[in-house]
Amino acid sequence: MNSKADSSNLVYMLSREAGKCLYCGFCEAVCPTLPLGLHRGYGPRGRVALVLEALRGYKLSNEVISSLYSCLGCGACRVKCPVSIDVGGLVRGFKVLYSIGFVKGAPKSDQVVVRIRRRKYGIYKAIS
Amino acid sequence: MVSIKQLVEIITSNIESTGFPIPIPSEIIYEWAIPLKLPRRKKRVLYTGALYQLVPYINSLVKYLESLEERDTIASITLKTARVFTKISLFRKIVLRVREEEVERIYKILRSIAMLLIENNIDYGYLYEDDLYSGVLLYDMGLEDRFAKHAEKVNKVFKKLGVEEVITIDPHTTYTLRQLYPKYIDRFDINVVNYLEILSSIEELKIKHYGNSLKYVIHDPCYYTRFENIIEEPRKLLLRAGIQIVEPRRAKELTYCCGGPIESIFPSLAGAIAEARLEELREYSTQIITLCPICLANFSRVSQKLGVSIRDIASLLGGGDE
Repeated sequence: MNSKADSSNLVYMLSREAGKCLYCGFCEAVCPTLPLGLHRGYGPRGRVALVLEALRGYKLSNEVISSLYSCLGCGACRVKCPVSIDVGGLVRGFKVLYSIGFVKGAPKSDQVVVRIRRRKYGIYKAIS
Repeated sequence: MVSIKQLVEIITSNIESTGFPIPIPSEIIYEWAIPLKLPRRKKRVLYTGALYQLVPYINSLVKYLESLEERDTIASITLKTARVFTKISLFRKIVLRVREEEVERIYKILRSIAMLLIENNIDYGYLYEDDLYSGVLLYDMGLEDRFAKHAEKVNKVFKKLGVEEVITIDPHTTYTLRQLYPKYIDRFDINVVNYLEILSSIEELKIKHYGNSLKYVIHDPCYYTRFENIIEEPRKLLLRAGIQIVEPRRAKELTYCCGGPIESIFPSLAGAIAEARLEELREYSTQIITLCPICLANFSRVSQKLGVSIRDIASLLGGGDE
């Protein structure tokens, strides 16, 4: 994964995989992180959209990068996906490109930020 | 705040310098096997991948990370803390806080697996100090080159010892060796078989029978069901041991993750996911069965709070107490 050609090849493969997304949202019902996250980046559909943005050259914020790193890679979304997108693999591909600096975040984007909802009296309440 | 890259670097530099994600004393990997006097050199060996042995230390690390989160207004870790990770204080903060009984609980699970195989006439050896970590965390973090290097190191040890078949005991190591090593190592020709697959294929299985007196709700690990298709094997074994299994709403390939894979970066989120899953399982039974050390570690953190008890399948099949 050192050469530029390897990275470009990975970008092509990830773009093709992410491009299959129909944005139907079936995956969201089964994602364990989405009910606890504060935005859709904590769910598979959001992660697909965010990886696409990163591949297009947009610089992602620390909040967004943390939500991508929060993916469990459990594969629950893939079972429900009508086109079998491997979101865990997609996020891992993003991590590969991010760790070698091929995709970049906005300034201070590397800080761990986790804002999760805490349940109080049976209702999820956001804490930050 | 600590950066993701920094946190990843801390974990990976630990793997590179000590062989494990947490700087643990190396003897805890094989200490459990000493009383069993397992033979060393065999073509077929038991390969734990050290994941079970890491459970008490993962719990201790996560507890430490959580205490830092509480001190911070938002769930983040201070840069100051990241620096001490690489120093000797990590050893004091993490390793020395591990309770003896937690380590003993894991040793009992490992001994149960080893004894189940012996009692059913499976001929195998053990790697002892060569029982290395599989490097799965490097792969999960997207560190391709480092993972490939680590996999090569493990494979070289197998080759040096003349290993032809390995018996794995957890879903992550099974997946890593079976699916990933062939992609990252040239000519990886070692046969990988899981102990649940071996035991469930034995016709006249010698196993303790509970006489249908126990009732457990089963929690399937994601990697067994969705990546390795090990679904019916544990059920078959539990039924043969006379244990009543309750299937939760989300079971088999539709199982719900325990949250464990992210506990070293986002401990509070991992804990909240474990709570959500245990609340769901509790509706069926307060006695829960797990098949994976990561699930065992993450559930154990919150099980007391939710009034449930977690039991590993191996210790139950082996008939021992925990």
